[in-house]
Amino acid sequence: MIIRLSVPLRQALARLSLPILIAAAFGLMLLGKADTLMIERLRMSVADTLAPVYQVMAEPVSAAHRLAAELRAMIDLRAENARLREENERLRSWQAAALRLEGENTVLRQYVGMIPEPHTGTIAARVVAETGGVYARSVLLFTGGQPGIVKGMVALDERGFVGRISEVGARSARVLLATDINSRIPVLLEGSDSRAMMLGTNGRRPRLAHWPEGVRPQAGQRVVTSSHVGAFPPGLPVGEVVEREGGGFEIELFAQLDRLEFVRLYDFGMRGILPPEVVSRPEPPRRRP
Amino acid sequence: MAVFAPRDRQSFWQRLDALARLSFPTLVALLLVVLAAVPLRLPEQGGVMPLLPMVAVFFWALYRPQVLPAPAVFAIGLLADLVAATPLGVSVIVLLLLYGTVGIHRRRLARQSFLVVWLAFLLYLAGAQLLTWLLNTLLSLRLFPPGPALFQFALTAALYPVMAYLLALADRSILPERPEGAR
Repeated sequence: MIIRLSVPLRQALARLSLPILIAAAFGLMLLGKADTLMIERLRMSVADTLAPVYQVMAEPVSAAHRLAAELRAMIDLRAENARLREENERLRSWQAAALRLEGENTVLRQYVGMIPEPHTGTIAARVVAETGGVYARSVLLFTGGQPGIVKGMVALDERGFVGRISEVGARSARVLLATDINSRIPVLLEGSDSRAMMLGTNGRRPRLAHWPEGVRPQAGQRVVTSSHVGAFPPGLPVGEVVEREGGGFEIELFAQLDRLEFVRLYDFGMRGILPPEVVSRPEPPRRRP
Repeated sequence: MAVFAPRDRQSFWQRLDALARLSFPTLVALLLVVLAAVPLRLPEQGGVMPLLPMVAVFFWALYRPQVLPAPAVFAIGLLADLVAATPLGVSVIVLLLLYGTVGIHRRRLARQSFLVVWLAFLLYLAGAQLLTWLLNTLLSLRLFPPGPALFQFALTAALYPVMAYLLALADRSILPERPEGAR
């Protein structure tokens, strides 16, 4: 009864409302360009609301991946064992080298009277949503309201650099991935010690740009973060240089951005190139481990 | 006292039931927006998900626009932009224009065979994606690589038959009979 009565009315309304709504959408677009802070708050409140939902929905996906990994491991147990034994041998010699270098480092530090680097805390957070895709690359973390998460923190997976915290909500935070088109990370080409920039393209591999004249990046060269703008701690593993067909260089990231499950957030107390409103925000009390 | 007569109460529940049924398409589309961000962690997927909310909006704009009013489409686009952290308003404009243009052709298109509707969807999808690309390019003044968008097109196109089947099933079982003259 209600439906039949309201159909013509509703259709008339729909005809009228569509142009108005499209105009409103354009207004929204302008607003998004003009007041980014307000939009960011709105986005994070939506993210905060949805984060627990995503937390639950990520569970079956994780379970499926664990099962697949388990099955794979069961199938090639012998090969895996052999590989691990071989890797263990290799790591043992690396451990010896690391211990030797650590000792040497301590002595040299005492020698030159170096001030020790500040303690850096790490926070683990679960990746619960992958957002963007075609036009942006970011992931949403469920932080559960852990204190000490601030904009600009560096996120790493177990292999290397993932991205930086770009937005922080009450129980979620967004990480702008290194592959995002807005991501610009200062890097260092290991070996030649020349600085360069890693620019996200939204493609799978970020582009390498702005290396100094006279230096040619080598394929296979390791790339690490550089501290030259004060935004990053030096020496975090980022990736390897690969040559792009058609000229130019790209970086094959060590981090596996397409299968992130947990990231570690590092606070190095560095807040370079961040908008002023972040700096003026009072720091929440930091939890000590 | 007459207000609480059983007949009135029944009509209240009927009204609630009708409301729940009528908001079903909107809720499904909103759910699809939320689902699009669940990380599947498949290699080479690169975070690209099929545009399932667009399939839902197309489906109901074509077969039953009276249960998916334009303000609902606005809300679906807004949530999509907020969840994906893409420039605000882009999905809203694209979905509203999709809704509007499908509405213009629906009387002819809804009577066609499935294959024709699928092909028409591909055209609408390509148009919508082109517009999305254009708006994003204008807003950020950057060129986006075409690869992920093409992948998304193929993914959405391939999933359309399955989605359309499921939506038709849900539509038939949950929504009231088609009012006369709706077609």
